[in-house]
Amino acid sequence: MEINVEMILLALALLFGFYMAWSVGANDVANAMGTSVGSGALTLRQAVILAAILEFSGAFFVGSHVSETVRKGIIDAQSFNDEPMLLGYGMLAAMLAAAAWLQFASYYGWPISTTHSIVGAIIGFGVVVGGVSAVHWEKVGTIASSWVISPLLSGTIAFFLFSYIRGQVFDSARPVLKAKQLTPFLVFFVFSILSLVMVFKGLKNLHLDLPLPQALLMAAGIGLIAAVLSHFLVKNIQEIPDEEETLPPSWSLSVGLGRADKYLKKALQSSSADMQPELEDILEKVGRMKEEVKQQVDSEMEVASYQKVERIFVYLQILSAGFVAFAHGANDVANAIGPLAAVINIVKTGTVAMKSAVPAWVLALGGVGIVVGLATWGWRVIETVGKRITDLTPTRGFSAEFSAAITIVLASKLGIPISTTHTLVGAVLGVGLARGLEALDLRTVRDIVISWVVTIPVGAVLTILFFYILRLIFE
Amino acid sequence: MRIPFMSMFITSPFEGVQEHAEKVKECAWVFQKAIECIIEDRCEDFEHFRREIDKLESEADAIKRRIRGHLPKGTLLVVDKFELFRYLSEQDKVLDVVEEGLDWLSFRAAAGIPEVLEKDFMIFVEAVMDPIEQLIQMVTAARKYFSTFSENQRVIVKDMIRTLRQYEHEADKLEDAIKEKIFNSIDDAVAVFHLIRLTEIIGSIADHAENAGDMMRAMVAK
Repeated sequence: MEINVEMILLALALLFGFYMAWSVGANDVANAMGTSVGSGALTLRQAVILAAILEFSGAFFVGSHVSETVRKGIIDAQSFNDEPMLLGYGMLAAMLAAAAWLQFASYYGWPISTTHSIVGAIIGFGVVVGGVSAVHWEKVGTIASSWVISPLLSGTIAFFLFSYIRGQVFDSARPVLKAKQLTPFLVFFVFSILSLVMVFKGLKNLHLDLPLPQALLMAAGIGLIAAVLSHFLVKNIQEIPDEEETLPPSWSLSVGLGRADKYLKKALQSSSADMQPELEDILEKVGRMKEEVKQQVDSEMEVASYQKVERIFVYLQILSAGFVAFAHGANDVANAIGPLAAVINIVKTGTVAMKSAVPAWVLALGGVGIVVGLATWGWRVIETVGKRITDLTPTRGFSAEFSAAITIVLASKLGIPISTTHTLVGAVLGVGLARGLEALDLRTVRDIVISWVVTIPVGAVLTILFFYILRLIFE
Repeated sequence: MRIPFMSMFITSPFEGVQEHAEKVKECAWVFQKAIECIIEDRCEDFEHFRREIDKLESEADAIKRRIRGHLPKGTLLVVDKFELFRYLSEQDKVLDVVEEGLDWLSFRAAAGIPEVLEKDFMIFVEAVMDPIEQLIQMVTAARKYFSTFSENQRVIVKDMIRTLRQYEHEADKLEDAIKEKIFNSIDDAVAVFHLIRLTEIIGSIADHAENAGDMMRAMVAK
């Protein structure tokens, strides 16, 4: 009988863990890829494949840090030494509660976070069943403050990054040239940071965790190679539109008027006195027209060069989108895998001794769950986001996504479960505050703050409820 | 779907401002056609112009309301919301004045415009079209500026505003000349009153276009 209960527990844990992973893949992957599809940088198919690969890699290779925190950082497992199964029920209840709350909130379109739900659920269980002392409050404090800090941090980075791009590129006399010059540096940063995350005490699963000096050196090397490659990629982009069709339509008009002006002046010189007033009149009219068309041509040329800048940033946007997908996988897989790994451990060993690391196959399961979520539902969300959010052009998309990715990766490194969505919202706001977006609805921020306040108690109460129900059923 | 990220994005008000400017231009064209129609003396269905302007006006009004309605309290804009509304109301006044002019014209449509003044009015109305067409270009260029904030684009917008002012100034000069001619060539007091008032209304079309330009100048100020 005892075996059977454990088997059922395990099956349920796998089911809910997979559901959480599915939900992460279904709803949140759009954050990374939506805008790239919207700007035409990637097709939907390309975006889904890229996201699948990177989400899985992030989850599998770097996902263990955060999973460990969710599994044993929030509550003190020692409090459950006498009754390890209580912790098992609790974790299961937490997953069930988070999943239910997520489903409910999704139905109403509330901006709640998967991460916050699961953390709230675990805290709730810890306090009620294990007592106030069972919760690692200083850790909870760190996590909770990170929820406020992460959007602020990503917003600040995005603000300065976009302001910098605007100042350097858009505000220069030759935007396209500037964009070409800036690209290798930005590529260098993206690749260096990404590789640093991978090799500095990461990739334990691949036995590739280098100490800081070597990691720095390796990251800089990879960044440099990528930068040189990108330099050659953008090198051949022409600064001024040289083909007929890329020239603004008013261009030929302007050329023609210039000629007319020239010939009229010649005619004026050689004409007789009685014809001169009429010619002068015509000349003045042509001159005015020329001035008007010149303004139009200037404006159109300027617009054409901004569009070209955006086209260069398309590559950077794809890069940053991939970066977000990777970071997202690394941070959010924990929501599913953390509690699941705890249940598996308890069922397997019958104790709460959690010395062992999160098994690789569990991380892989989480990664697969995310990919399945992406394939079954996530692509639709990506499509919707891509269609609706066209304001996030490649320069803006890059600024927002890169800032969010750095923040998420940093948090993952520190083992802090943050909300990737809220972090991205912060980054988009940063771009908006740098006057990069024509209009933003700030009520979203209010909704997010409300969701912080509401999610924890709701997650906690639901978990308690499910916990007692589970215990009633199984004991 | 739970996409908080998406709910942040709202339609840019500049799209509506551009649409509204297009409506203003269309209205001005209708007005020009109405004047030509009156001058050509073959105007049988003057009411048709009024209906057309009425329709355009209500469409423009709908755009205006849409812009205002879609900017809730907590909206982050690249320009001051107050300035934007001031600009929009100034652009809307151009339209109102066009409508007013057409109404005024219709009150004495049968009498029409005296033959001596026909050419002057044609030229005058033509001159008033210039600032309006310039207005559209300015709005388009300004929108580009608000998405890049580049100095180059700012200079272009400022140049366009300057050209707009010049056009208004030219229309002003024509207005004065026409008024002088009216007083010196028409003896019928009622006709003088009607024509002077008409001239002033047409002149104020350009004035309001210039005011809109001034508001835009404030919006693109650093």
